[in-house]
Amino acid sequence: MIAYTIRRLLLLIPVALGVVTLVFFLIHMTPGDPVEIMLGDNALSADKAALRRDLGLDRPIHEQYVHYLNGLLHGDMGISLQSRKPVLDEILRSFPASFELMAGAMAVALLTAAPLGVLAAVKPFGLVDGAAMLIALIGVSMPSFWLGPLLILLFAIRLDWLPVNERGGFNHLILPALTLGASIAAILSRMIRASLLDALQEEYVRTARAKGLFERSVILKHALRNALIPIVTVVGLQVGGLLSGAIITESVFDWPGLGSLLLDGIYARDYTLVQGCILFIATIYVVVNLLTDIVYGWADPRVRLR
Amino acid sequence: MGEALLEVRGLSVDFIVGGSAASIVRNVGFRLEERRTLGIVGESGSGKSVAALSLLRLIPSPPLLRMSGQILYGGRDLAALRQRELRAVRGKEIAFIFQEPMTALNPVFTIGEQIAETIRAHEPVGRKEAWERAVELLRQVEIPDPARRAKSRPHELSGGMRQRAMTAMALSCDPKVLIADEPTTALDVTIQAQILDLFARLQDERRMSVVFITHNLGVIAEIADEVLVMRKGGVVEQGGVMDIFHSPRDPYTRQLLDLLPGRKRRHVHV
Amino acid sequence: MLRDKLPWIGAGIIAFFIFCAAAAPWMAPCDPYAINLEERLAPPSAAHLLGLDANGGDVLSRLLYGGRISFTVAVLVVFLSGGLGVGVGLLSGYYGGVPDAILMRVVDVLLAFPGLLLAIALVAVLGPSVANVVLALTVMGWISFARLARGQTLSIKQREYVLAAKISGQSDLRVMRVHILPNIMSPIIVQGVFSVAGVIVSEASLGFLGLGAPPGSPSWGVMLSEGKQVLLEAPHVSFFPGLTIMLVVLAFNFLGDGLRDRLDPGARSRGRVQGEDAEIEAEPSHG
Repeated sequence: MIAYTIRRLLLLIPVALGVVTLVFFLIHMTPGDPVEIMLGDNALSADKAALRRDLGLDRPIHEQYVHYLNGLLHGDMGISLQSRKPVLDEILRSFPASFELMAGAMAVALLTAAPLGVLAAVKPFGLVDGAAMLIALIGVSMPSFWLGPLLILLFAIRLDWLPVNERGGFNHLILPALTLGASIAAILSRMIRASLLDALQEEYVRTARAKGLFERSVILKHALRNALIPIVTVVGLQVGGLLSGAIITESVFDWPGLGSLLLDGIYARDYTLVQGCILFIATIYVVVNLLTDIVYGWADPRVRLR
Repeated sequence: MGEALLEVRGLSVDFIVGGSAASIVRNVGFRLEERRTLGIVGESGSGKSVAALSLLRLIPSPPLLRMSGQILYGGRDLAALRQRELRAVRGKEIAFIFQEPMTALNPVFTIGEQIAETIRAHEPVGRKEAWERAVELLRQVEIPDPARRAKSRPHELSGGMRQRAMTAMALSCDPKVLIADEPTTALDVTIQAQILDLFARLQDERRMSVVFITHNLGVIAEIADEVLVMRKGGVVEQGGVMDIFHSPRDPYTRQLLDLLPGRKRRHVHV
Repeated sequence: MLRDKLPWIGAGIIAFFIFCAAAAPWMAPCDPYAINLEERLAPPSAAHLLGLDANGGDVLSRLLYGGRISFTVAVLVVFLSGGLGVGVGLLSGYYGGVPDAILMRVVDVLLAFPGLLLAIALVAVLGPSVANVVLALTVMGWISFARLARGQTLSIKQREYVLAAKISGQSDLRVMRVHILPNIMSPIIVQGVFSVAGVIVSEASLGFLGLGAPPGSPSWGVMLSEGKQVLLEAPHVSFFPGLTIMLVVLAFNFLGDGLRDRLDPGARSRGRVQGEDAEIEAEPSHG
């Protein structure tokens, strides 16, 4: 298990290097002079030259690349062109909001998908199953930038139950979390259904019945515990959906997280900020996938043995 | 002749296969007396496992289409019991041992947990007591260092150990009838012999009746009192083990006997 | 059973919306770019069935024209990314070796960008436009086709008829074209149908974020983004584009599910299939 973890960590290095390289060269293809963005068109050419030197932009691109890599290793992602503050500080300031949103969405997804998937699997091809899976399909097909406004119209305006467009207490989190969590709930409930159906075919389920266990513990303990093992991987992959979906959800609800920071950076052509945000999001995703694999190994005793 | 503990009359089972009905077991009947062993023999596909599983209605639908007949135990017809009443019989009065313990045991729980939960499903005992009884049961099936082994998961044990663990699980509530479905088929020959010896000893100590399902007549010769030979879902012959081995009436039984190695046949004459 | 009809319902909805998009110049009651500030945000009425937007544009007309953008982008992206992905995956799976190893590393790196992030990064660099959206979504979309085609090729190239064709001296290109490609098409077609749904949502998402079609253009995503500004006064401006996107995506998902059941049955849960085999009697393992 430790050897497996170490091997996975080593495999991470080329991927991380590839991601950094790709993002760096992509961003440096951006048309437009960052110095003019910072100082405006009317700045003196002496000032521009000075700033260009300070930013290292007068050096050849491969030197800039090495400089950037070196900075990353020391936790330095450069300076935001717009705010002139370190990019990492900006990111770390926005991240808690995004994390809160994503955790809320994942909670919504798990709390709806688990009962829906189990009910559907217990009586497959029945009425409940059909209804649950139709709801799931609609959930997958519903774009969050439409679901969000619908929820706002219904719960914040028509019913006036919940606040909107501010980050604050728990009440403020509900609508954004529902919006972001809906499609993941839909995907997960289909997965849980399929996985539980497979598990219910296993012999140990028959054994559990033969032992005289209550049907409740046959399904919720023996079958579900096994069915959840592959679901761990799916949940890990859905974190990608969360990270990318959060960008849109944050835009719908004016939520001050990483997605909003990234979009502001794009609109303002603040390329160091954009570069930092993209790298940060990709890093989270890669790390979560790594953790998922390790948890998977821990959850499945047959893998753990290896 | 003792009192019949379990009596089966006219058991028939139909499956739905590819959209149409198929008869898997036809009109099977037998009496099992106290402390006796009934062997059910037949090749794979003869319906013997389906018949055995049907005794506790363990076949899911689908593929099960319908089941008819009577399964009389303790003055009740198991075929007509409600699910709730049937649950109380399963594992407590009549227990099962399956062929492949690797897949029949749940891979994510320790064998101690799996034995203890069986006890707790039928008796009002606490976690700790159930666990201690599980360890004791593992000791009785001759698993070395049972306190430590109880904490193992099925894949961490050898094939023979796994089958011993499943046997311990089946014995956990002191059942009166043990149904063993090809319990030694997945094991190699020396382990097979050890497990059969263990069965014989436990049956004797615990005064159990056993239904033993196998495709192997040699095993039947060693342990059974009565034999029931099945083919294509029906019973071709049944009777005392001596009668069947010495004077088989059905040509199919004779065919099966001819397949036995000579050494095993001599064994019968002892 | 409803489940069996869903693919046909999906196909019907798709046909309807494609027809509307194609016939937009004849069906649309108004010029989609018309500006009419006096009646802006007017609710649905007999004259304007789905109402007017913030600039007084007719929502119905803009939706009809918007379908042209969505379907054009979707078809272009699916064919470009499908063609590129299947080609690369097929070659890589067939020849293996160093090119295959390089491909897999490239895929690893691209997969590190969750969901739309790569497309967002590309559009941010290239600038927002429909052409750049097509490019960005193609760069993002070919990966799944390549992985699918590679995996399928790896399993099929070991089959006897492929080996026989190779031994009989047929060229690699012919073996791939005649013996492998037709046999891997089913899952790829299924994937293609699901991709159309994905691309329509992605295009609308980029439009919504201001990274797709330019502001004011009749694209579903842009309409939703403009509708969001006037959500309180005129909910109809967001409602109808959103409903349209959902219906179209749902229809492609229905169709994709149906095609998968028919063309690629192994991909579905084995639950139903297993119940039909009477494999209760386990085969005893002799010896």
